[in-house]
Amino acid sequence: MDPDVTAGDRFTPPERLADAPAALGEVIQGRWSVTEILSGGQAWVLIVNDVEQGNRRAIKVPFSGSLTGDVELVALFGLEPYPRVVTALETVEFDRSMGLVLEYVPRSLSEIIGRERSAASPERPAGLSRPSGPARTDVGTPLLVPREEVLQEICDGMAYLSNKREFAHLDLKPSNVLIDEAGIAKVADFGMARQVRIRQGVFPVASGGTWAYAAPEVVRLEPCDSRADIFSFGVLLYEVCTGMLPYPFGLASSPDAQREQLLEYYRSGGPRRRCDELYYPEQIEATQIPMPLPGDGVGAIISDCLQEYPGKRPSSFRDLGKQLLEILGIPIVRAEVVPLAEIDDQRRVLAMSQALIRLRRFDEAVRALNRLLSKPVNEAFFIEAKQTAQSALLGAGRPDIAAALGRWL
Amino acid sequence: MSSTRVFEMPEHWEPVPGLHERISALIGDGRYRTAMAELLDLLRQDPSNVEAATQAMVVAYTSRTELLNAKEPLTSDQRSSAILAPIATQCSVCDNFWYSIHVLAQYEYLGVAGARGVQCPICRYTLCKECAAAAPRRGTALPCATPGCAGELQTRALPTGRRGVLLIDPGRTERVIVVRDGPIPPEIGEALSVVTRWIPLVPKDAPFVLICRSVPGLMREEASCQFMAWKLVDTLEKDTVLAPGAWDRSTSMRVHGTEDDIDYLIITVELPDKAPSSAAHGFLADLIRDHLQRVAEENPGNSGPCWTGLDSDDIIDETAALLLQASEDARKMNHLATRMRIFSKYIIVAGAIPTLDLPQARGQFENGYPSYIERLYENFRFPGYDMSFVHWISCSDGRTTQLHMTLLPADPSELAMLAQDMLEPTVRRSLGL
Repeated sequence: MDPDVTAGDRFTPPERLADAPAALGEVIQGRWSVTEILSGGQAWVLIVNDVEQGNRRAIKVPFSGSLTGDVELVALFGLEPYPRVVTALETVEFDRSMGLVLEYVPRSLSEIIGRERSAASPERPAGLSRPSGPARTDVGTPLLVPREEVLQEICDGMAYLSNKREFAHLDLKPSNVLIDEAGIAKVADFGMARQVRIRQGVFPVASGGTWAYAAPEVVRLEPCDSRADIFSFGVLLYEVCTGMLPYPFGLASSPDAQREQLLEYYRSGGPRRRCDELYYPEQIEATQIPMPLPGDGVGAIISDCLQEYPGKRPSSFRDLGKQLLEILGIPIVRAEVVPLAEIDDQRRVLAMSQALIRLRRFDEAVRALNRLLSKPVNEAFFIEAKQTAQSALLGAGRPDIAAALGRWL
Repeated sequence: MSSTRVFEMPEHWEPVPGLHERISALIGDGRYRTAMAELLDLLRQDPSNVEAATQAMVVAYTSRTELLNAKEPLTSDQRSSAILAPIATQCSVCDNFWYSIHVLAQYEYLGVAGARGVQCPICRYTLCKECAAAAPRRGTALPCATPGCAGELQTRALPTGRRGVLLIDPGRTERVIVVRDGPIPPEIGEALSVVTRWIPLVPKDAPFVLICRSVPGLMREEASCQFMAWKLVDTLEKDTVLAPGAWDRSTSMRVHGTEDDIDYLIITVELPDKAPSSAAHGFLADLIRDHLQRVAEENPGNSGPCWTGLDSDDIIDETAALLLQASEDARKMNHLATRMRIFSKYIIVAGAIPTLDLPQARGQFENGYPSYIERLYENFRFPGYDMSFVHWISCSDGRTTQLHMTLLPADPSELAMLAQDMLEPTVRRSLGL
């Protein structure tokens, strides 16, 4: 069973390095020296050294066409940099696709969970005993993370996404939570993210995600909002406590079969009983989860998050953060938004607009470019931005405005 | 012109027959958007309609969870409509606002689970959930921050109105001019999304909205922004799009657009006060009535809504006033002068020519009258908004006045009419007239 299998994944992953966009040791565009090549669920990740600035970066290059990358790119560039969310810096063109330059964060939460799980006593399942190193909450549940604040940091990052931009991440899972050198969590991978504001009179429908962590409404491909992420956080929290997923069965290896299993599960009374088992572990025998948790602590929070009906889950990550404080005593953390240099910000807007044009979201591109052109920019950048705006206007069916813009100096 | 209007629950009010049943049926069917559209239309016409306001409160109160799977969820434009401003409850610290139905419950003390905010029962000082979390407490109580008020904030929240909304009478609005900062003007949908947030109009009012191009940089400072507003109004007045004295009837406001947008300048121009009816105005109004009467006699059975509406006193008054203004312009300039107004469901264009000589009058229309009317229609029509187009032409030598009319009804099944006297004889012959 591979809980990280993502909907739409190829069943057999591509051979390592066979189709990689660059070779080890290659210097991309005279700037990025490739030191490591990894393949994730949907993309190659090149770990590179920036020979100009001496920084380490990660370049993400999507496997299948450019669309997946563009959705993520738009989501990332639309956000102001925030310490709890991985920052996208710029784009790099490859032969067949567009690479996204991201800040480098060395580890993922899933690696840490795996390591801590191995460190736990083999004869006693992880989570029931306290392994050496992991944090422990005030109510005594051991966690497979080095610092319990990581959970608040995830909530803070997710609250930033949902409050500031009304984004639903829709693929929150341990492998999409990165942990930097200082042990701080950063939410990553926005390939499935959707803005959940009603635009054309409907809520969006998720296009997939990782079924093992997906909320019932996402599995059913029904309209959803950021409360689907609250459910995913519940799955993640259970895994952080036990090293296991909160299902009474092993998940199949193919995404389609996983989804069928989960659809069947959500048609049964199992999910409701699962919440009860988590909430009242003393009174109800655990049949829907592989391991019970203390009901007055973390079990109660997970029970709230795993509610089948979104209205019964905590309504926001801010509320969830408060529960983590009040029930588990994990202090709330809030990071400050870090403004970027103006030119970096302008480059991000231009890159986002170009991605919006490729996605045929012309109106949004026009608005972003109008915002960009309303402020003074340097001449070379101005010409590129103006030409991009003209393309967006033509795409939006406004040739007269495109022509007028062409005459504007 | 601008103040916060707050909904207060009266003891008694006149119910609107069938409204409650209609809205309930729509809600039951998950059609929140249609229900709210009907209520917004009603409240636009009559902001004091208590039943529509209370129904709107119920629809706007619907939780996100209920809307998630609804056939037609409310749109964010509907939720933030300025028409709903009087029934909104707004945080006194930040701009957050929401809708509560506590005003409908006749209990002074009401415990509310999952409240969106808290309010002082004495002075209605209000805090949203986020601001309340950061506010200083006295024990477990949240004291009211209004100086001199001894109240404590509670979960029962009544309407406070929404700040910054421009309270205008839509029926007395001549035009709403919209300018967006930056070099690219907004599309009508984008402009309406911003306008309806701050001015109590509905999407059907799109024909009143006039989008103008900004001068990049001028919107950064308040003074240059005001200068641009004045310049635009002045230019539009000179172009006869606005009636004389428009700046004195204008109110401008600078607001921020939707989240990924930029600043907008919205200028609302009220209709001019009706001038005391002059003899000339009365004479023109009589001429219009006679003309319509004659057309009706020549075309019996022509009783579509466009034709019958044209005969109303309001439209005739407005048309006479426009013709009078155009005639004065024409006399000064000694050639064709035009004035235009949107009124009710009509785009009224009034042209005046300072001669009774028909060949000379026809000569005023470059490339002939059909081509002129086609251009005029293309410039002023609003596809999809059910507006009829009427062009009145007054030919006068100062002593005698003759009227001609072209009418293009919104409903193509109604009789359209072309001012035949304005057609060259060759054209008339080719059309078999």
